[in-house]
Amino acid sequence: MLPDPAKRLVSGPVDGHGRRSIYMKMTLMEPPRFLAVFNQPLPRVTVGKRDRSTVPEQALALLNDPFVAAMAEAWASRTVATAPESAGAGAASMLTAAFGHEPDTERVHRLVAVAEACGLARGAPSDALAASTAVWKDVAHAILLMQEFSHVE
Amino acid sequence: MSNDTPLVSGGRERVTRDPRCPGFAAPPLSRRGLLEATGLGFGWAAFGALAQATGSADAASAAGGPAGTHFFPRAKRVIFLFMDGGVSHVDTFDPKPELDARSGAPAEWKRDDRSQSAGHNRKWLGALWPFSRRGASGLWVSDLFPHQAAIADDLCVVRSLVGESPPHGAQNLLLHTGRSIGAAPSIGAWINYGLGTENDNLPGYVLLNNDWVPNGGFQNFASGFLPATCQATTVRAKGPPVDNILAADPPEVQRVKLAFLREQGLATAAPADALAIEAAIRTFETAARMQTTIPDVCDVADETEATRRLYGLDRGTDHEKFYALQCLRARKLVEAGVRFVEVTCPLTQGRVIADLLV
Repeated sequence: MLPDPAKRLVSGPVDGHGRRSIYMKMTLMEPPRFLAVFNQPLPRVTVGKRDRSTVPEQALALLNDPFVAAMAEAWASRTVATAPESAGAGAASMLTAAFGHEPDTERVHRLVAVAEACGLARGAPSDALAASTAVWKDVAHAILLMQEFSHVE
Repeated sequence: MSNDTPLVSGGRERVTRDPRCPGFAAPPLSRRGLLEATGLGFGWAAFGALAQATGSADAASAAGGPAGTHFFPRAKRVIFLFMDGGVSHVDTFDPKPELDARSGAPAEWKRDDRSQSAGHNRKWLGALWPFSRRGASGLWVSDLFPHQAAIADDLCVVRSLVGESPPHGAQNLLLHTGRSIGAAPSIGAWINYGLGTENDNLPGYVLLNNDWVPNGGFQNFASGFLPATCQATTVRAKGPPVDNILAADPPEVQRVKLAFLREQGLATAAPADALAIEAAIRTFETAARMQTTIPDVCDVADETEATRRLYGLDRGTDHEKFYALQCLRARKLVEAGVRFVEVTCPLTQGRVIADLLV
């Protein structure tokens, strides 16, 4: 679970117990910080056009926000639960889930390299990478950071 | 292709459905396209040269002010102490002889619907502290501010600001954006837009907040219709100074992810998108540097004991201590090249200073 409940996007469980919401409670004086960083319009007045920006505060949010970390961890847990037979198989299944098509081998190789380097840095045994939630969390986080993921039109 | 079809994408009126034939290769980016693709506004572009001289505020002033602007800026940096709920002007810098003459007399005026204070049985209240002229300039300052009175010749007092309506929120927005309905760029955003930042590892407009949202909300510090890079970055007094500034990963793990991001992004970007992708990747690298630069510039541990006392870091209450901390940080931030620093005032148990004095 998230260490700082104040940083949560919305109240309640992270996955909303599987529910999705169109209408959310919004505090007019202080909108959700995470969404505000990504140019959520201020709720008090009508906005004719959405701002588009690419600023370091967004990168900080994607790198360090507990909400992003929680999403990566949830995804990692699901991946570990499928018991992938190798790091490559796990990476391929996550890329498929993220982008909706079979990934090319280069992408898979780069992501396996991320898993190996992060596993090394975190001291995970190299022969058990595929079973390490910490390593898969790093891989999931790396996918969430990918330009293809954030800049898809 | 007709002549009136825009050849260059990325113009102000972005076409949502591309009318060009499928084999069309985009020409090199236009100037406007470049600015938009890099996600930075004109204010930043005008300051490109200076941005490279990282943190050299002195170098910029030695060179005769920032290059690239069409005018010579006399004000180079602004520290705005926004004292919401502060002491009344008629008790500090704005003597009202007529008010003093009527002090104690019933306040008889035709009920003014614009005023929320138009109750019955109200009396005029004159200045509670006597005024006198100070310094060589003869600036009027009341006895409430003896220390500021001593530096009267260094002060510029503006007495012509007039509000439009009683509600605090609307007045705060009027002060910050020039419009009591807000939805316009904040003064800090304008300064940042016009002059840019002198340090590309720090934001150009910093709000030193005290865990409190002033009336009018964050619209007071927003960029309005200016580029989003002009909006304030909030630095809090308590805890981590900036949202998400503490790295969630060990440095070597973060380095792995950033290297992957660069390699993957550049390997898969279509030629037309390469510049935008490059700019986006660079924001991650700037963010990684900010994890160090922001806590560094917000850290006041290196200040001498005398300085810490002068600012009031040793005061007894949290309000005083945190306000002192933010004021000291304001000085450090402008020294590091931040254009516009705003410090908000902590609320003291829901009561405004004016109430506490009386």
